[in-house]
Amino acid sequence: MKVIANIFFFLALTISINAQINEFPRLTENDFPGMKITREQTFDGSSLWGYINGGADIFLEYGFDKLLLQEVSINGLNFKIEIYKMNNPASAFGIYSVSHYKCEERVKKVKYSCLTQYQMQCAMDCYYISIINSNGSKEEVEASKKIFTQVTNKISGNDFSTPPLFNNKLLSEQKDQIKYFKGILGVQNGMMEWYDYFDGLGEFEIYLLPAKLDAGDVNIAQIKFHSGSDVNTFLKRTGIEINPSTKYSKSERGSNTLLVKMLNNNEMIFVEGKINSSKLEELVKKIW
Amino acid sequence: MKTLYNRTINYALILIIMLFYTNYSIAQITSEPPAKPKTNIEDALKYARNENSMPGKYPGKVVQVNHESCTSENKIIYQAAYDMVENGMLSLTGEKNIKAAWRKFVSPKERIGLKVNPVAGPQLSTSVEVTKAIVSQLEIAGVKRSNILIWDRREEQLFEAGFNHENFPGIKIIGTERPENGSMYDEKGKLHSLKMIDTTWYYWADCEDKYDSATIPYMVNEGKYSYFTKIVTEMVDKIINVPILKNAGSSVTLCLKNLAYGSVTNTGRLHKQLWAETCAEVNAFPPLRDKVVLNIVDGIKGCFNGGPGANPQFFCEYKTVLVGTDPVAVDRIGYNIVINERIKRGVQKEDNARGRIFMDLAQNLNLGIAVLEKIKWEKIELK
Repeated sequence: MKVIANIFFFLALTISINAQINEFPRLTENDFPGMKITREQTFDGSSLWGYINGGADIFLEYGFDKLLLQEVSINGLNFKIEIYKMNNPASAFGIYSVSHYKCEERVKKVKYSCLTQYQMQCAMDCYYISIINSNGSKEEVEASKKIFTQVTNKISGNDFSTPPLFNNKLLSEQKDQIKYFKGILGVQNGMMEWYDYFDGLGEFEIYLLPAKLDAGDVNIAQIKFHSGSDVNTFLKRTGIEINPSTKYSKSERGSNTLLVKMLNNNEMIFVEGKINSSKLEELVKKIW
Repeated sequence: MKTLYNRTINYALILIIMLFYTNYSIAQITSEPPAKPKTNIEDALKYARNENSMPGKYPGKVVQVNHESCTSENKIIYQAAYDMVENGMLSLTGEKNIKAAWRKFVSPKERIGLKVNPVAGPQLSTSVEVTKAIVSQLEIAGVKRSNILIWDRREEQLFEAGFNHENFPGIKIIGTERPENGSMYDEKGKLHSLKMIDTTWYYWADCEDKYDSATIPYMVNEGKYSYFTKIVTEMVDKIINVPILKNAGSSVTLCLKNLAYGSVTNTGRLHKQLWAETCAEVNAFPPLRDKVVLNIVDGIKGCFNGGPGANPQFFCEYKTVLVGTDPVAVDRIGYNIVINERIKRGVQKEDNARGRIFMDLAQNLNLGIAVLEKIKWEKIELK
């Protein structure tokens, strides 16, 4: 009886581990001749702490489901492949948006992709993927690209779309700079200057584009709060009083002009820039 | 009688509603973030300080040693690392030979612990080269290898980052969270790490978290107590703190953070609500305050963003080493270097005082100097 129970337990465990791994666009040793998978491990929920310690917090804030870590070796070159399955495409995009920097190349087929010497990243469907090589050599970069293609070919979900606000001609060229925050750690990582506006608030979502325009540098954001009191707190902190008779409400903070246009009770367009008040309003009218 | 009872109930209800709205309105008006959970920092302050207590022999003094050629093809050159540490030590102490410089802090019979930071893997950890340079100079000072110990929380991460017996023969490498015979648990299902913690020394904070079975081996315990590791309370006499120069969001994870989060258990619960407080307050307890005699920040390679994790596109070569006894002053200089790099690279527009809160808290606890203008910052350029 004990033997049967043990076999049953072993089978259940194997099925469960396989089921977890199969949720991912994982590499197999058949994908590349001579490739060896030297480590393969999944992490879920708070076990991410065991893998990346304090770095886990931001993934959890965005909404993290599971991680598949694969370490592979191809002809003596070593690569680390991290496939984070987030709760939804927005969360995957959010992590990608605060993790990439000065991309040297993008892959046309993958809407949100960023290739640099040591790391290749992308957000596709619910996945945020990072491929890291050891030395940034030519051979490693080339092999990384092949791994990248192989992994992304295994994903067939929908691409994520940012809000229509950013489709405006004036902004569309800079769209790849859009950041998406889902909590205070995102703000801390992507726009520290706004930390005081959001510190201690409940749930919120921010799409932010730090745009370089002819009129000057402006931060353009679409912000959604989940409670009316958070809207009030935010407005109080920015010094903006909503005037129902005008389309836009503004305030001045030092050399910065701040402007809000309410979209509904909990959602707004928020623009901040070192431009004078009337120019900023003019700019927002062109965009909106 | 019944009417009186009803009236009392009604008044009570009105009072409750009024109180609720009063509190709600106050919260709305002040727009203040919620109050911080209490901690047992008062316990730490009861212990008398001694001559070794932070900020140590040279309060407010930091030596920065830059070396333009300390790397080649992405690798650290050992001799350059050695020279950087040596020059830093001589300048800090004003001594002419390296033995005398080290003898100001250690003696041959003492057990010396080197607290490194291996958490972000081999590409973004305290380097083997800088650590080897320190070991070598400790030997010149008469400390035997058998009296040197390299430590952190997670033993596996130490090995992964190159702190192994091949690189450091004769030196004990140990973590609080450690497996034995390939398992984190003994045959009775108890964590081996429990043997490594000293329950008489703890940081208590009025917040807690639940950890799943995969996480608990890395936290050791749940609840409101974070226990100190026996490595600091029993296994070493002096500690040399050797963090790597890297950011943590828009702040830094250098001397204070490396010591605080590396020395106690159950840290997960502390990150969100008490990050700055933990960085400062844990260091005020005698096992750290009175044992950490030197801080040597390995800034040869580091990162300016993406930290504390390893995100290669944010790696950079600062080509510097910071040396000081005052962990707050060293952190303040390191912070300056990292924030300037962030601003230069366009990931941050300006400095934000929030990133410095943990240093201000540490200064208030008399652990060192956080005001940049009060720090004696010496720079040495090597070629």
